[in-house]
Amino acid sequence: MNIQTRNIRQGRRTNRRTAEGLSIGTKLFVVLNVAIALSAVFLIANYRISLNQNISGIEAQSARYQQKIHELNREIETLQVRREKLCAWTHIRDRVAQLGLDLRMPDPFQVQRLVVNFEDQPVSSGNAVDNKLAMRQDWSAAGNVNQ
Amino acid sequence: MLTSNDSIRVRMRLVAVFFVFSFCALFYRLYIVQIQRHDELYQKARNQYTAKKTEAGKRGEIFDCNGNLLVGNIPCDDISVDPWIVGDSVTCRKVAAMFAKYLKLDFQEVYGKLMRKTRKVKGKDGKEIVRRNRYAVIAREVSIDVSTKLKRIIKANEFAGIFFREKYARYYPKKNLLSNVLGFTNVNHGEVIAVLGVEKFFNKQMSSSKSVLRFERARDGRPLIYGERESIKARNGLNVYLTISEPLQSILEEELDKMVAEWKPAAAYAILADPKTGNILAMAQRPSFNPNDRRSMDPKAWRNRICADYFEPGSTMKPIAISGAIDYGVVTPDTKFNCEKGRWKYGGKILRDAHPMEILTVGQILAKSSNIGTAKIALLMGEKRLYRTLRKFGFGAYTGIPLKPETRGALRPVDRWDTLSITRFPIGQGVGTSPLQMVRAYCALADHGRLRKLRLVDRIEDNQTGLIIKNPIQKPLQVFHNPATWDKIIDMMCLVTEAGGTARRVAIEGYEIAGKTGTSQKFINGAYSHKKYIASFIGFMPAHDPELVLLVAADEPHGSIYGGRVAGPTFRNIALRSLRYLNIKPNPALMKEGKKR
Repeated sequence: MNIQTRNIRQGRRTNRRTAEGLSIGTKLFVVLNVAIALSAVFLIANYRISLNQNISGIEAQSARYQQKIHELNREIETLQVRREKLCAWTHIRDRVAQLGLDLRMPDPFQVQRLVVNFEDQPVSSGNAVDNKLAMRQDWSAAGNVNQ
Repeated sequence: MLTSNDSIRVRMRLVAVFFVFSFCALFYRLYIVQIQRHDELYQKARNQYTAKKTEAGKRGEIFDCNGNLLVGNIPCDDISVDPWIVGDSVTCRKVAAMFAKYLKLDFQEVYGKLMRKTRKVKGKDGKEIVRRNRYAVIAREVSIDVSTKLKRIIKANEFAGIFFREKYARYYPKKNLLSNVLGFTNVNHGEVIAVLGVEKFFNKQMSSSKSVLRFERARDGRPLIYGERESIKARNGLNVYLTISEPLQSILEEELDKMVAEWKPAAAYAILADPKTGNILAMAQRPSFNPNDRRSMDPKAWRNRICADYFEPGSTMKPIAISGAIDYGVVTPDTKFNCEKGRWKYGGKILRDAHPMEILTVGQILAKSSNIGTAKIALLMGEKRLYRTLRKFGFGAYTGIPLKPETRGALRPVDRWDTLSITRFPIGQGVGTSPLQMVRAYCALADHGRLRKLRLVDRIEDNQTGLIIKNPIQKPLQVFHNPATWDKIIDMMCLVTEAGGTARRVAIEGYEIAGKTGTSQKFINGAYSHKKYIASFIGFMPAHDPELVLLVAADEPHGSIYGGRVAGPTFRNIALRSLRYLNIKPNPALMKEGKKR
């Protein structure tokens, strides 16, 4: 006697009876619910994947920009050192000699300040001409006046 | 006899037993993997998907007082290859040709490195094992211009197995300028070793730390977005700002080079300082070196003679001793001494003057640099007072400069003086001073007898946080008891550069220069040499409001031995150009009529 075989058959019969007892509406409702749940999961998973993809893309782009910034910073550092090298007096001296620039030592008196106080002078047509002449003389007396 | 039910029961039991054993084995395995070997296996797995990136911070840089870069770091790359990945002989030829062209390397050598796919190593049992060769260095410290070009070519040709390691190389943009003071560094197995100069003294402050970044990586090596990250940030070294002014340093070195070219001394040095602060504005020595060119560097030129060596200063010591005598009230500028026609016997030995002289005032003794006159002044002063004066001016003590090694010079205590010491020490014989000690003493002389520590470093700066550590100007020690001493000694020292003095060549129109020539015999093998001399000139200007103290010395000059002749013109040129650069105007009262404005 095979007890298992009998039990399986009994079970099948019972299930068939239960399924037969459900209405079409109920069946549709169950199917619909399951479909909705599955599509929600599908949508969420897809959204998450696309979000991750976006993040990954932005990260990659950011890494590229960071690399670019890093390279530019290194270039700036190189240029700064090169500028310092070109600013060295030995280099400037060589270039001055190469270009034949006729540089001379500064004269401590080459820059002079003139204070011209117009308010003290009386305003008249004749005096104005005299004042201008006096100023010209001052300037010529001062020699090489820059200021 | 077994029935069919019994047989099923037995089989079911057997299956159950099998499953029980299988589960037991599985649980045991799980226990081993998850609990017993958890840490080991977890670490193994982590290592496979975790990457570690290390980067060294930048070593601190050295600037002058105005922020001009003296020692910097230049970005560069080390290029290495994995010969196993590079490819076959055809690809290796192409890669080797590329490296040979752009890095100026020998083609065969590079090709040999690329084709060496295996290497022999000794195993634990001592036997030789053949292993894959996964690493070969092609070039170190390649400039980023070249490495950028190479990267482009590698990308275009799709070469594989070539790696660029970013790093910084120490670079000295001003080449020889201040090289003995700045020093240099070496690299040994990736570690920076400071060899000498400021680089060595401030090595701890200028050293950087490494950054470490651990991250979970994707297949292509990029960090995972949600992966764990651990990072230790790199700390850059601190920047050092010196009191040196680069333009003044350039002037000083250029003029020093001219002196070396003319007189061909074995060594030469010059120091320019600000007496009011003790700041060293410029200092140089010859021979020197270019730290960028290691092949041409002569170890003899490395030593910083300015602070490590001492010499007998000769007559430049006289103003120090005479100022002490005036300050103690032993003599006045008008006190007269008999200079014995240039020959005087004391303590069984004869002391000579360069020219025979008779009765001279103290002022004339200084102007004409009489050894006999100075020795007689010192005898009036007495040993203790002379010793105290020399000590007060900083002889026999460190100058405070941050350079090692530094000498304290040689100044014996009074109880070890012999009969001749009192007549020889004030004329700069028998005492040893470093050029820096001499400059420090003259700074005190120039600044109303205020002795300061010399300053070479102005501040140290952390460029990441902006923190500035200032090196303060310390309170000076007062050397003179009598405030009138200063005026008297300055007036006498001005006579040296005037008509009748030993250094007329030094005079600059419009400026009063107080100074002293020095011509000292070198002490070699227990005797004073009659061939080898040190010619020097030290002084300050403008004499009554000093802005600059300058020392120029030539060790063993050829052609002349006198300080006024050898060092004097160089002193004048440096002083004139420095005064012009600093815009220190001449005194119109001291100029010729035609040139006054």
